[in-house]
Amino acid sequence: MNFFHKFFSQFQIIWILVRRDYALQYAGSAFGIAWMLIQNGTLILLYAFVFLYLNLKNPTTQHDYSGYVFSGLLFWIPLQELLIRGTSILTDNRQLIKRSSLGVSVFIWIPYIQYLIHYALTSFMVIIILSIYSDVNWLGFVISYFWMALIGIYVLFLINYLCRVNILLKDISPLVRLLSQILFWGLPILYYPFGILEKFNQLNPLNYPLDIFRSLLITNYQSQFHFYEFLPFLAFSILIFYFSKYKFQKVVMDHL
Amino acid sequence: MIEIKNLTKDYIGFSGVMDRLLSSISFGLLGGKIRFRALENINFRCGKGEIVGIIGQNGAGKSTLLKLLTGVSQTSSGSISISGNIRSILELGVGFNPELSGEENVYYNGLVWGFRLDEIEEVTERVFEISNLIEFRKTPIKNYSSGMIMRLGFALATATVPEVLIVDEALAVGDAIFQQKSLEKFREFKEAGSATLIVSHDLTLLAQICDRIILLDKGKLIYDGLPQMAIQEYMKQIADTSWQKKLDPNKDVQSPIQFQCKFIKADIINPTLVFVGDLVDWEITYFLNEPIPQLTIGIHIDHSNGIRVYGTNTFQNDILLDNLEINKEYKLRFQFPINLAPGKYSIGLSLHQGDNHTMNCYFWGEGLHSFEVERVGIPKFTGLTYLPIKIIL
Repeated sequence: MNFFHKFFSQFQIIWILVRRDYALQYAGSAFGIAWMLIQNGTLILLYAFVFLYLNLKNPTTQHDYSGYVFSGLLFWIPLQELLIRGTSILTDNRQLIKRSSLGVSVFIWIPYIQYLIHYALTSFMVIIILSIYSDVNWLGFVISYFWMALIGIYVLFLINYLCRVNILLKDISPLVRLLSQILFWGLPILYYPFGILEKFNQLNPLNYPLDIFRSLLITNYQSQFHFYEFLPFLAFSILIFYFSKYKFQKVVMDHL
Repeated sequence: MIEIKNLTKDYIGFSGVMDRLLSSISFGLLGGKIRFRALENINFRCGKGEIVGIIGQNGAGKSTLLKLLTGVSQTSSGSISISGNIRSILELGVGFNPELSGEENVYYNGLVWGFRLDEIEEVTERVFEISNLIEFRKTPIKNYSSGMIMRLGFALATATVPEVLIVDEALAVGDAIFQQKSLEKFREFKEAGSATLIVSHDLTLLAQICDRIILLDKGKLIYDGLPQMAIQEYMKQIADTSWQKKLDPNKDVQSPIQFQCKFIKADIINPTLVFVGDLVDWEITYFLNEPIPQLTIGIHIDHSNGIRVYGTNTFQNDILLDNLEINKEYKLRFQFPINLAPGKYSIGLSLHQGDNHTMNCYFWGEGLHSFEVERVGIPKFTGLTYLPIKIIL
């Protein structure tokens, strides 16, 4: 009972921080938080226009390819936002962290909750397109929320490190943007993993999670990668998380 | 309640970008060539209903101590035990976002600062009422004046009684009325049982409000006790004794000036009782052991609660004591009326160069003579200073 009470009160605080973060991001903006929807929606529509309307892909594979691309984009867009927002979350809330007794960890959950919200909102737009152009596995679509929640935690392991490095190295957001581009092109989102590309994809820590995500979302999707390829990344990310909380935390907090 | 035991804090600094990079890549296990002990073996306690001041020169470790107390930084060794909810008043208004309205800022910051969800609405009402900003609730903070932001920040920070309150120089920017209101609030919290720690360079403010003052110097706790004694210690500490360093370290350290002081009322030497309005002299007889370029002689009078009632010196009065000869006796008198309220006072002396004793100080002495002031034949008045007011009808 005590655990649930503690969890609920912690969640309440995180939720307030999430709302505050949105309020700050979109304060004074004409469309407010609607920008987030406009931004993601426009991106999806652009891809839809290029890949579906302009028919850039071989027409014979059009049916499968649309599901392939849009499930990839649905996977990637919220994760990219999580990566970029998560990196700067501590530096952006520096003053607040100094004044509150909440601790640093609470703040790292802000981009995670936002990531879940972004995923939920983007998924509705994408699923409409997918239901028209592809075969959606509706049960898998529901399960995908849990899968994405787990993947978010997996990425959060890395963010625990990046947000601390961002304090120590002042601002690593240009580096993180570059990293996100490398991750994006290293994932089979817009292309099929054949030959050398497949080998290249196997080096991407998000490759297997994307593969599982597609298996959940698209009917008859054949998984192309194996869990054992993912294990070293998982172990490594847990180690990163552990070391970020260990001595590194002490060093970083002295420089906040 | 706050209890600190054997607290030590070592900072890790970086010699350059590569050092930072190495530390980042190695998760802090490598790099960080610069080590600095910010606090060493600190022990003290601040109980319920107690107000404790913390003073010290820049780099003494005051801010580090507050960072450790608020949990921003972690200790290297020792323990900090805090019972109850902490509220910290650091820079007022910091943490407010200029784009958000006053109401939004109060709501979000209030919750982050520790107010409960079920009390925040009531707190918000009270904050705007106390700060007299009801009509500006919906206005973005960027359109507030700095005074309005300060009022709002203070009203929020003090909207409810915290169990532990930490204040860091937050009041230094306010005007006199704001400071008085703040002091009243702290007294109110004291009555309600809050344990309060105040870091400030405003010694008068601390003397007025603190039960105890802690003096820090280069990370060490030098003194913990009565405000007046702590302030005296601090004044001695900030007196620059660089002339000592210039002397031969093998010789006994000796001031270049020898002196004697007398407190004189009429013909009575060093009286311990004087009356409001009495004319008194503070006489200094001095001679030089070695040549010095210039000398300033100063006096300061302190109330027993630590408040500096008055201080001046020859330099500030355009009296330049230069070209002084060695081994020749000189005399100087500060003559003044005792325009002070009844109470206990002490008088001190300073010998230095230039305007104040923080540079090239030869001597700094507190409480060289103590005396009590009584009121006879003078109408009753309040405050520390007596002004011979005439009421004209």
